[in-house]
Amino acid sequence: MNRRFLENWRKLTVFVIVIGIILLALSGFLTTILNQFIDPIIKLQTWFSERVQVVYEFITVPRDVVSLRQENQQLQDTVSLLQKEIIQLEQDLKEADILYALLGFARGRPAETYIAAAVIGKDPSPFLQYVLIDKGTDDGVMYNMPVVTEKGLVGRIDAVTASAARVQLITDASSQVNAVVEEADAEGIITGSVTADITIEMISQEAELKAGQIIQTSGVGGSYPSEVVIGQILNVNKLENELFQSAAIQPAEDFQNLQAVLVVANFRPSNIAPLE
Amino acid sequence: MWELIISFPILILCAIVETTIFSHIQILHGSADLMMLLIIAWALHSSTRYAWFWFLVAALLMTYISALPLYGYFIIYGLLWLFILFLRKRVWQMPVILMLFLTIFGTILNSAFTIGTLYFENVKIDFELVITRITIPSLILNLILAIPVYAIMNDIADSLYLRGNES
Repeated sequence: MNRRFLENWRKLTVFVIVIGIILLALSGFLTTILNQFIDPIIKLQTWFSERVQVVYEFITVPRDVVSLRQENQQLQDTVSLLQKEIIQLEQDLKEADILYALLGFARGRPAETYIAAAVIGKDPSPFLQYVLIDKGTDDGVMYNMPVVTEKGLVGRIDAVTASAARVQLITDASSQVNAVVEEADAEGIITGSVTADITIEMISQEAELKAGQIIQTSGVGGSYPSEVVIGQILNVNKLENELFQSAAIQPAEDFQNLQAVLVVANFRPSNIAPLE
Repeated sequence: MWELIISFPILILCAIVETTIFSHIQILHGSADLMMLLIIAWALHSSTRYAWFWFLVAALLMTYISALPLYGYFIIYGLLWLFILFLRKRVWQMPVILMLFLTIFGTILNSAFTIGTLYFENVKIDFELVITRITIPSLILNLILAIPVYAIMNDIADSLYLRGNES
């Protein structure tokens, strides 16, 4: 009886201790101690798992090479497709940027109405600086209308057909534009050249020209609207024994990469030829 | 007859390619005159009979596209055509050499005529600059393109006249 009682009491004690340990473990009081035991086990498990994985891969590689190659080919196809799409999107974005810039420029000058046109070609003669645009008389484009971009003056319409027009750039050798340098309070004439360089000439010797000064159209002569940016002075050519000074100009527009232009539709150039 | 018919699509295509691509491919400021090369190559083929018509259509197209005044391309291509007529009777056995020689002659003629026209329009011209930056680079580009253009046009003419003979 006494022995039996002792045995039961021992069992109860063990049960209480085990329950106590479980409760302590569940409540987090034994975490540190448990980690000491669990960490080596996990490390062992990891080590073993890695080896098993290596062996598994070693066994299954021959089968996977084919599928990997197929997958690789599919991915390469997808990449090339995406690259094509990226190029297309970049082109679209570039066109959209140009159109947004032109739109912004047009909104900034609400008094003028514009006809947007794409540049579709360049004059085949290397001596002449002309471009072809895809808008003509059917779209309202007329002879002598000024042509601009959001950056500045481009030129004027030189010839026009029903669906296309030819634009004489300000860089053309026979182009002349009356211009003003506001900062120096001086007026002059912008002339082009066969090598597409532009200069401002006939400027009074009293004017103080400096590199970086902005040149705009003066509107004198009635061929172009006033206050359209042409470019910046690059360097000044001033000789004491000459009547006028001149300056080389960096055009505001990059004429080599001209893609879209605006024809100023509501500007009617004055014909001063009879007065000359 | 086929020679007349195919002249339109070939020359129109050439004009489009020249204004959109070749006028942008430049060495310094010089560019190639694809149209001139094409009509020279066509005229040098021994079987072609209507080369004068090609010259006329080419001059018409170029006058339409270019701002060169005084119907410049009619004069340039006309003189070139007369020179080809003169040379073909004498050195007809060396078409490739003749192609290169006429390319040089045509480029110089084109430059000289354009410079002359601009000079009479009171445009200031620095001759040294024009020769070094436009004429010589244009000549180099034309010479580079001369042989491939000659080969292509020769093949077209061969296939055209072979077909004509077979039928």
